[in-house]
Amino acid sequence: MFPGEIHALLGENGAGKSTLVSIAAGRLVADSGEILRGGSQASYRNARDARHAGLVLVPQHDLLIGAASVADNLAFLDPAAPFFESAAARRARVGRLAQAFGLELGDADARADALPVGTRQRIEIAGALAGDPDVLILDEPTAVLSPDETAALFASLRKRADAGAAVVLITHRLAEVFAGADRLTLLARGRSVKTCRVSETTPQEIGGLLLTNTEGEKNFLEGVWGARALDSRADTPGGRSQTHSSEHAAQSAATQPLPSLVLTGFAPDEARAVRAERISLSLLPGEILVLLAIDGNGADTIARAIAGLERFSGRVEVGGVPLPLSGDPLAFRAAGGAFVPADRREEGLVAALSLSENLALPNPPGSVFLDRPAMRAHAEERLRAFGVRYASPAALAGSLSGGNQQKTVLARELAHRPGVLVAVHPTRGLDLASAAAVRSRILDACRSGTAALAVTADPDEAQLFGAPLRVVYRGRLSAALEPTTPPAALGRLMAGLEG
Amino acid sequence: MSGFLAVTLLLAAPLLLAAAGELLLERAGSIQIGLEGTMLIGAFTAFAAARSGVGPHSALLAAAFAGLLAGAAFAVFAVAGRADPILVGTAWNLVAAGGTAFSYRLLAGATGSVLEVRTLPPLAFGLPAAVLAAFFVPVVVDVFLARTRPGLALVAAGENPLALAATGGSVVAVRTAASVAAGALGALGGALLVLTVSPTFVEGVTAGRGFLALALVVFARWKPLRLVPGALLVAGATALQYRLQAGGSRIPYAVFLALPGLLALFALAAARGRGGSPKALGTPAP
Repeated sequence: MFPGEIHALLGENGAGKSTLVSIAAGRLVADSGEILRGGSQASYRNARDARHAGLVLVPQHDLLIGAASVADNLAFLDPAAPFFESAAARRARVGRLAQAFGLELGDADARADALPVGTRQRIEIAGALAGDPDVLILDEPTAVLSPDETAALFASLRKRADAGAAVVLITHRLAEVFAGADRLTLLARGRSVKTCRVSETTPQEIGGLLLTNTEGEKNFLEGVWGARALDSRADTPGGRSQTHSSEHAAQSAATQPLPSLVLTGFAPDEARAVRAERISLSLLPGEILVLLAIDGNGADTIARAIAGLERFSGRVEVGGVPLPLSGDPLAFRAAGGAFVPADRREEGLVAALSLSENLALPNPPGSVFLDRPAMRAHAEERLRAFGVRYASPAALAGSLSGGNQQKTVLARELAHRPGVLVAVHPTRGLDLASAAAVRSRILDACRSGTAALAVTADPDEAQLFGAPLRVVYRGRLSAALEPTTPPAALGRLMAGLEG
Repeated sequence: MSGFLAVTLLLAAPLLLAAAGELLLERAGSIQIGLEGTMLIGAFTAFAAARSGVGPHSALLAAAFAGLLAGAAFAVFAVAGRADPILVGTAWNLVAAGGTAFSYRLLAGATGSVLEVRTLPPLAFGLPAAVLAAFFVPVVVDVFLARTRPGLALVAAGENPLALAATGGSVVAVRTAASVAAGALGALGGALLVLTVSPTFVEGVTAGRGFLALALVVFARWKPLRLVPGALLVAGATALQYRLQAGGSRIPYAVFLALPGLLALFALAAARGRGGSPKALGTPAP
């Protein structure tokens, strides 16, 4: 690491990126080895020591006090804040930091938990920059940001680097690395595989290295990778799904299958606040629709309302069965619906139950006592079919990595060949290999007749489904877009600059 | 009527002190449901100190010191030891009730005679300085939480402990400090009962005031300044209850005794829900 550079840290989930930076910031203790800074030993006993020495880490988890205002949160994050501080002084800090780093921090008096996730992220970064750190480490800061927000973030990081700081950035997005970083280091299974200047390599080379250092599913992934950044073809593991959906259209003309999902004049109750339009659409068996939106624009709410987790008005039919307006997830499931929630740890799985118990939900076998042997056999069969890496069906769901947890959720949700699959951010936070595997499971299900509605905030991700897209902005849906629409155009629609 | 007002203020002060301390602890993310026990410890310590011959102000200080130790002891189990605070608090109440009753008998013997102590001298409006000062405690707590750096760290410990740890703070240290402060304030509240309201100690002298203080924190939605109207309401009901009992009504006195509790119950029901509670309330430190 050198002063004045932005250094990207890449690698799959579990490669050791977060662990490495946690050790550097004094939050974990190294088993061996040493850290040098400016030529001298620099292992910090705790995060406080590291901050005093000018090394600040912005972790993946939330750093804000939800119930406190923006002004109070920045006072909390600013290491130079005085013991006693007036409300006016705290408000002044918000304006000062916003100006100094070119970050839009919102209303100083707004409660942090009422703010969109992008603004929250900027507040955390402004708080980290407030102490003028010499070393700034950001762990996946862009996972939830829109393209414009990401560009603004890189601009403020560049400013800090130009002032002599070293910036470390963990990310899964190669495009960002090549647009904004100076050097990169690739980690795999805890080892450094490659370190070089960004100008000396290509996305193709790094992408290839990322995948060859990932266990399994290699060949198939190379296909996906080829589609992702290098060609702008909308290719998917199973082949071209444009043809896939048009095949279906031809099929439907011939056999007239009933639509799997029909929305008529539909609007989630929560969306009324943003005066959302009523939505009418239908999906035939095997059809996919991708909703693309920055968090907070109501795409998640639409998905949750269809799955019976929010109240709505209008009409939702799954497999021809109308669902109750008050929201009834059991009615949704009984009609043949399956749901993959955004938060797999909290909502998708019961972390404290075993894999076989999770897979047996919601209707475990057995009349009075659970039929454990049947649960175990079912779990082994499902986990194998979905390529989950696990120690035993008795292992706790919470012990799996993010990618394996998501595959487990899909293994359960797709077990009964659902008519409709609603998936919210199905690949968020997953590395390339896991994301591709999750996507291919969804596409497989669609090939055997499941209609799917997927929500994502990542334009690249949205294109990889190779299916029609609709951008959601403030609760309104755009017209259906081709999967080949350039990401820049999608970004403008997502930000409400067009359409 | 001025007599009624003075009694209301006198009765509100112990509640305010105990509730303000509990509020600090809960905003830091821990919870001590053994507040009744802490008040009993304070009441007994003040009584024992006063019986040993020191003045009422020294007795008050002795109680505060006992409260500091009690708060530290609670933190050893429930904060640093990460035991379930509800279980620790329940045991705390039982141990404090039994322990103070036992100690009182050691001190007083089995005579059954009432042992009186000197009460705090009045400063203004017929009320002692400590009672008047109690009404400023919520203000101090409010300014501390809203305007100071340690106050922000305390709020972070209760809302997002991971954030506090990530920014170099110690959740255990912050919650321990809050527990020590809550212990001192709870014990001071208990001591005021002995040194103002009734100048003696009897078993269970706190008579559920610790639980009323716990309810007050919820009623105040964890906002210090809102403790004042809540405490005045409950204390006013208690003062009214004394009047009605003294008035020789035919209604059984137990009904009047239940009045403040009933009032607190209705106030809580009207306030509805747990909105405003610290997000990490009752969770162990990371």
